[in-house]
Amino acid sequence: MQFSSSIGRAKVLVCSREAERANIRPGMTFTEARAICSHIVWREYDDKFYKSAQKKLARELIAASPRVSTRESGLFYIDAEGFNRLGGENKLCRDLLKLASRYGFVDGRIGLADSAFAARVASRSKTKRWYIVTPDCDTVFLSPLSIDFLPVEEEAKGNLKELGIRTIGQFTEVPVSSYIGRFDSSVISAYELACGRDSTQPALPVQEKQYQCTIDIGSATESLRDTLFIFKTMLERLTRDLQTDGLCADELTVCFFNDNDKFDERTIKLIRSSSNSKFLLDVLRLSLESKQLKREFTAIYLGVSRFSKEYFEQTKATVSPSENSNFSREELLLTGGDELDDSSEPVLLLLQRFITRLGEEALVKPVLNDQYLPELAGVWIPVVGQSDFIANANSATPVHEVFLSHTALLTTKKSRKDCLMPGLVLKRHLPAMPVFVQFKEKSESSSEVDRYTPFRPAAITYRGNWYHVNQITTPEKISGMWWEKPVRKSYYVALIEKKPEVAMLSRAGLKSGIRSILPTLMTVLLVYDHQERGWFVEGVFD
Amino acid sequence: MVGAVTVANLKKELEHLFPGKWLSGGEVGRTLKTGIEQIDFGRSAGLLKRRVTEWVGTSSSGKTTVLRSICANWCATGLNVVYIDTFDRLLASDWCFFNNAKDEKQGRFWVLRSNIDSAVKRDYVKDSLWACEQLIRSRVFDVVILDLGERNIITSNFYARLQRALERSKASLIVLKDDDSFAQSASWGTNSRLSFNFARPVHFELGLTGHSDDIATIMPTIKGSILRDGMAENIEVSVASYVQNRLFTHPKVPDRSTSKTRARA
Repeated sequence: MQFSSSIGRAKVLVCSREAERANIRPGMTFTEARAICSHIVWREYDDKFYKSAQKKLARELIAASPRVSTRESGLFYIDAEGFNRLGGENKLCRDLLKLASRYGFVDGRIGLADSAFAARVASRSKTKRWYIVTPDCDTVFLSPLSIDFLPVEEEAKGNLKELGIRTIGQFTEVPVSSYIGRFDSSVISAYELACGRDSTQPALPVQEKQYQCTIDIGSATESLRDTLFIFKTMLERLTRDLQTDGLCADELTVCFFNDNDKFDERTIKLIRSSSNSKFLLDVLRLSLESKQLKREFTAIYLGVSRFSKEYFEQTKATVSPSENSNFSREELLLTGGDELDDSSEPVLLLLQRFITRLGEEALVKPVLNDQYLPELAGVWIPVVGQSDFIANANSATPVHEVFLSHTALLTTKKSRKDCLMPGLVLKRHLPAMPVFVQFKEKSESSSEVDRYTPFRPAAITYRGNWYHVNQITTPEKISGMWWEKPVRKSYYVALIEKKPEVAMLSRAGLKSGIRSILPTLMTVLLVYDHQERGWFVEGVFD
Repeated sequence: MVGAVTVANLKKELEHLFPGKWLSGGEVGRTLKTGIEQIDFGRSAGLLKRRVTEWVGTSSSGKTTVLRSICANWCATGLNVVYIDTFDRLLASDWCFFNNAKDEKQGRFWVLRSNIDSAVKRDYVKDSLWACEQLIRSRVFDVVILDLGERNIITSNFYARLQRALERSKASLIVLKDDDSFAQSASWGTNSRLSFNFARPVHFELGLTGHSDDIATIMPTIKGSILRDGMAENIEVSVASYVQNRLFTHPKVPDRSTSKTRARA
């Protein structure tokens, strides 16, 4: 699932077979998917992570067959030739499934055929965990199957069906010359696949280059200066290798050893891919400053645990006419693309500093969410990756003329309702503060009101003091979140006032020099939790 | 000398009547206008840049409400604001109007949260103070708001450090404190102090039925005082109210019982 500005609007990219059975399809929003299936479990989409897991499994599958290659996510091509004297193809399939299940992939399926396409179709068998196509019978196997198995677009499939071609056999009966000129190249290549001619072959795995260094100092070191000097040497070598291969580091892993004891391991995620040794050294320094080493070390391991291809982009040039001139005088504005440019190095270092010391979730921005509960009506989204800010961060900011002409209107009483930020700000108590409540005695005059508000607090305790409820709003009753943890609450906004006798006491206390932190008049968010059957002050309006 | 002072005062008066035309560039550059008339044209004449301003009031006094209105104005005019929420007390839904507008000129509003976890022991106040200094030094933000809640523990030494950082930046630092409103003096190192408290009259919006007990909104008056250069001035800040209770926005359910009764009759 790709993480959008809010979780409700996140889109499903890939879904499991169980999810497909519950009618969830890629392209749906999270809200739509949850409406269909309440117990949906979502994971953030991480392409690099999936690829590395696939490569890791491919390395293990080499134990069963020497030629293994990976293609799309979750798909492996394995050479199954020459196993007659090693227990046969059935044993190979069994061994492969056993090997994959050892790493947690328990729902693997295998198809075995002469061509890769036929094997792929065979692996989609619903009844068997492995399906072996008889040798030289790929076309026979494929012919009764639906054309839905062909890798062509839905529109082309629809056109073929309208022509009465429903099976792969019917598709191959027609000579290929009939398709040329009428359909696009994907149909022509699908024709080759359907005839059992597929050039895809498993290959010998390529040894991946690893970018890592280890230095054994020989003596114990704890000085930051010395450590940075060692890091500088290591980084220079690593970045040279990365630059030669046209790569950038995304994540660093650092381990500190004392003799053979690894006492510290830290993974440092970079907010921007970089092969600049100076920037990487700064990041390592920040990490060491924010989380100091517990003891001295004798050896260091530094590795690039994640890397990506170096990305070059021409800076965008936009021409905008300046305010005080005609078209003859134009201002050329150069703005960076989606990637962060070097001019914003202070901002990058600032963000990296916060991530290293306080975590990725520390610096956030508020975004609306599609929930009714006040605490869920908005979500905090980490700002890292929000590079649009960087472009505006250092630009000149209008302060006076526009500002005053805009805001002068807001302060007039006529436009009070049009103010940018109306209402009071709630400051939450974490966790919610349980309170004692004294109820109002029922009277005949209030019977109509009590129909809507069966509980009508007259006084509450707040931080050890009794407060008289001066005014209270009609409760806003909200229930929901039945798909996670059911919530059923009545929200009241209450204007509370210190009881006269308490107020007198606090005034006396003030005269005698005791400071009172709590005011006499407060506006609080009073909540009756129907699930917990209790009263809470969830926050104060400040 | 007297003439110069008179002209300056006259300019201020004219600025009050016809905003944006009378103050010189230097005066504008030094101060940060808030968009709240009582603060901008009163004794404080806005907030001074590169200085510390204390924003105090007891818990539930309206100080954050006033500050939010001001932040909205700042963001609307392209200023970048960062709020250090030391004790994770803010609700995202209260503040998410800032980043809605797709206007590129609009400033950004970021919040630094401590993400308090009871399982992890960490000095959140120390982290907040460190973050505050870093944010000022970065020279990216125009306004840094430091919310310390009831923990008023900035030492004079640290005030001096913050002041040094401010002098090299373009930012203005606002220290938000839940403090006793009876305190009359500003902390060491602060340039001005604005204190707030809720007061009567309290503004009510009636709810669905219009019955006097059926209230949808409660909005007390926010009163404040500005203390600067040893001189104090009382103000009353008007911040717009809106329908707090969403029930109020629903249309009234039509009462059809009367018409049916009449039909039967």
